[in-house]
Amino acid sequence: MYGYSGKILHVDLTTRKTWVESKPEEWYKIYIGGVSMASRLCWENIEVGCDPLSPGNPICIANGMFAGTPVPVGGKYGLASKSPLTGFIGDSLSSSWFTIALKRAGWDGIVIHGASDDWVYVFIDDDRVEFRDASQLLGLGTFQTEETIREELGDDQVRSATIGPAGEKLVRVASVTNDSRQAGRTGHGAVWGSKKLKALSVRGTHGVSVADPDALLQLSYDITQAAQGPHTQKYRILGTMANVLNLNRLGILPTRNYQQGVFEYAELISGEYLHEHYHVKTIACAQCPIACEQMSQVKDGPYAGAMTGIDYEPLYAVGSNCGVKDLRAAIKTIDICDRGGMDAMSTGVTISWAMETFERGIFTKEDFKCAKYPEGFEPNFGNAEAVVTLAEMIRDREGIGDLLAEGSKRASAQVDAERGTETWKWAMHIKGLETPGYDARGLKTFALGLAVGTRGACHNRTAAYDPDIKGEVDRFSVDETRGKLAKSTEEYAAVYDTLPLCKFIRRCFTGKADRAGAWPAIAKLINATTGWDFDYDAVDLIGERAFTIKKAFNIREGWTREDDHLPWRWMHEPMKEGPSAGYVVSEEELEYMKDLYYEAKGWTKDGLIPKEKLIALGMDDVAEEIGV
Amino acid sequence: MPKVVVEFYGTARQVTGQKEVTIELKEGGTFRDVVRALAARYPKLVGDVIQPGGEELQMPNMFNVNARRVVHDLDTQPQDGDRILLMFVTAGG
Ligand code: SF4
Repeated sequence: MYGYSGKILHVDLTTRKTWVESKPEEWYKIYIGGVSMASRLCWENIEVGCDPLSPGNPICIANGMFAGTPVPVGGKYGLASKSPLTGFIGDSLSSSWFTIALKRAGWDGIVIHGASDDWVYVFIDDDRVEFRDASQLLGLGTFQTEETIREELGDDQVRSATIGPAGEKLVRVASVTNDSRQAGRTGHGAVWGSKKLKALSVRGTHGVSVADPDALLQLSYDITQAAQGPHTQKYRILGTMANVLNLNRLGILPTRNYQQGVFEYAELISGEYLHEHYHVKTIACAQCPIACEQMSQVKDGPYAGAMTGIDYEPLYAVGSNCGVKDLRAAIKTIDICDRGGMDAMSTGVTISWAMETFERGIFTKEDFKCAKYPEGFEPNFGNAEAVVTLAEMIRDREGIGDLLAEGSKRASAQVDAERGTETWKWAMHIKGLETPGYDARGLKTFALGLAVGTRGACHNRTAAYDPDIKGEVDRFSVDETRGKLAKSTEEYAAVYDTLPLCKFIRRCFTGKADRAGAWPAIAKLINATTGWDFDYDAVDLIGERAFTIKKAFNIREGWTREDDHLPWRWMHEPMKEGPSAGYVVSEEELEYMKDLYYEAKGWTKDGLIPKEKLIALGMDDVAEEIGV
Repeated sequence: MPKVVVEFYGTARQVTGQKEVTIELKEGGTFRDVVRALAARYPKLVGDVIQPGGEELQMPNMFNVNARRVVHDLDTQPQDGDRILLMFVTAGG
C-alpha cells in the first residue's frame, strides 16, 4: 500500500502491553484518515456506554495520507475519544511536526486503551514503545512539557502531544497540544488526564512512500505556488482575526455572553489593531506554505510577556464575549489557556456564563474568593482581570474554577439544582460543547448546521455559515433549501477534515473553493499518493462516510432527535440591536429545518440511519449494530 | 447624483489606510462603477482585492449592502446613501 503503512498501533496503559493491527486496503478507502478514521477506531475500540473519563474510553489518533509528503497543508491528524463534555464523539484535528513524526515512525493510527496507575508518557521510537515515568513533568505547561521531554530524550527531533495542568486535573475543557497547535475542542485533555497520560512522544526515522512521486511533486508545487497568491492573502495578512470587524458589522459578533451581536469596542480587539500593536511574527504549521498564525506579544502593563498565537475563535470568546476591550488581557487569557492546555473557546464561553450569572445577582463576590483575591472579586462584563483570573482558576480547579472546569452545561445544571435558578437559559452550548464565534440568530442555515453537528456547537465541522454570509440564501429566514445546504456543507468540511487538509487551501486548486473546483484536484492528489483511482464522486463520498460514522457512534451512545438543539437564548431572546436585531431561531423553524436535513441525509424522521443507507456506504457492520 | 460610502476591512483597510470612503456616482451608476472608482483611487487594491483590469472584485472579497444583502451582480445599482461593506469572512482558527 502506498501512502499508508497499513498498521495501527494499540497501546494498553493498564497492562502495559502493545500490539499491532493490520487493516485491509478497503478499510482505508472508506475511512481514509483524520477525523473519519479516528472516529472509526473509536467505534471499534470503545466500551459502549462508558464514562468518558473511564479506562473504557480509548484515545484514537489517525494520521492522514498526505502527512510527510510534499502535499501542502497535509500535515494534520485526527484525534477522537468519547467527549467528556458531550458524551458523544469528540473528534478534533491538530497539525504540524507531531503528525509527520508519527507517519515516519510507520503508524497510520494509534489506539490507547485502559488507564495507568502512575503518571506516564509513552515514547514511540519507530516501532519500539516505551512507557516512561512522567512524575517530573507534572504541573508543567504544554510547551514546557514538550521541551522537557526533548531534553530528557536528548533528541530535538522528538515530537510530543501533551496535556497541561488542566488535563491533569480533569478539567473538561482541557485540550491536547503539539508543536503549539491544539486539538482543542471537546475535552481531550481530560480523557488523557483520566488515563494518567501526560504525553505521547514520537520519533520517526523512516521515509514515506507514495505511488507516483513525480506527479505528486508537480501537483504539490502548483498548489504551493497558488497558495502564495490572492487566494490566501486574507489568512496570511490578518489571519482569522479579520473576522472581528466583519462579524461585528454584520451584527453577529458574540458579545457579553451572546446578549448582543455588536461590540462597541470591536476596533480595539480587531485583527487590524492586533497587527499594528501586538503582532510579532506570523508562523506556519509544518508542511504549510500559507502561514496564518499571528504570534502576538504583550509588551507593557500587568500582562507584559504574555505571548501566543491569536486566532479569531479564542479571541471572541475571551474578548467581546466577556465584554473585554483590552487585547493585552485577551492575549494573556489565551496564553494561560494554551500553556495550561485548555480550549480557550469553551473556557471563555463558560466564563461569560459565570459573568452573566454574577450580573444577575445569582453569584456574588463571595463566590469568587481565591488565593489571589481572598475577599473575592466582581466579574462584571468588561472586567479583564476577572477573566484572566478565572482562566487560571479553571486551569487549577481553584474555588469556583472547580465548578467552571465542568463546562457551561454541567456548571449551570449544578447551580440550578442547588439554587433553584434557571441559569441554563444563558449557558451557551450545544450537546455540551460551547458555541463558536458567530451568533446564529443572524445566520439561520448555520444554526441548523450547528444544531445537528455530531460534536456539538462547532464551526469547523459545518461550513453552513458560507451560504448565509455569501448571500446565497437570506440569512435571516428559513426555507426548503436549508436541509440540503446543511448536508452539503458539513460533508464538504468533512472531506478536508478526513484527508486531512487544512481548509485554508481550498481556493488554491483552481481558484474556486466549491466541489467542482477542488474535488478533481484532490482526486489527483489521492491517486498520486496511493495509486487508487478516485474520482469526483469518490472524493465526495469521503465526507458523507465521515459524518455517518460519527453519527453512528452517537446513535449507539444514545443520541435522540432532541439532542439536536440550540441554546435557549438563540431560540427565545431576539437580538437587541444592529443588523441582526429582532431575530431568533424559533422552535418551529428549527424543527422544520431538522426535518429537511434528516430527509436530505436519507435518514428517518427521528434522525436514525436506515440499514440500506449504511450498506450502500460500505458500512455493513455498522448497519448491523445501529441501522433501522 | 447618488453617493455611497464604502467601508474597508482587513486587507482593503491596510492598503488604503482608511476606514471608509465616499464615492459619488453618475446617475444610474452601478456597483461595477464603484469597483472602477476604487481601483482608480487606490491602485494598490488591484491584485489582492480587485482583479487586474479593475472591473471585478477578487474572490473571496465581496460587497455587502448595509449589512443586509450581498451583491451578486455588479451591474445592478446601489441606492443613494447605501453603505457598502468591502469584506470577506473566513472561518476556522
Ligand atoms: S494555513 Fe494556518 S492552520 Fe492551516 S496549515 Fe497553514 S498555518 Fe496551519
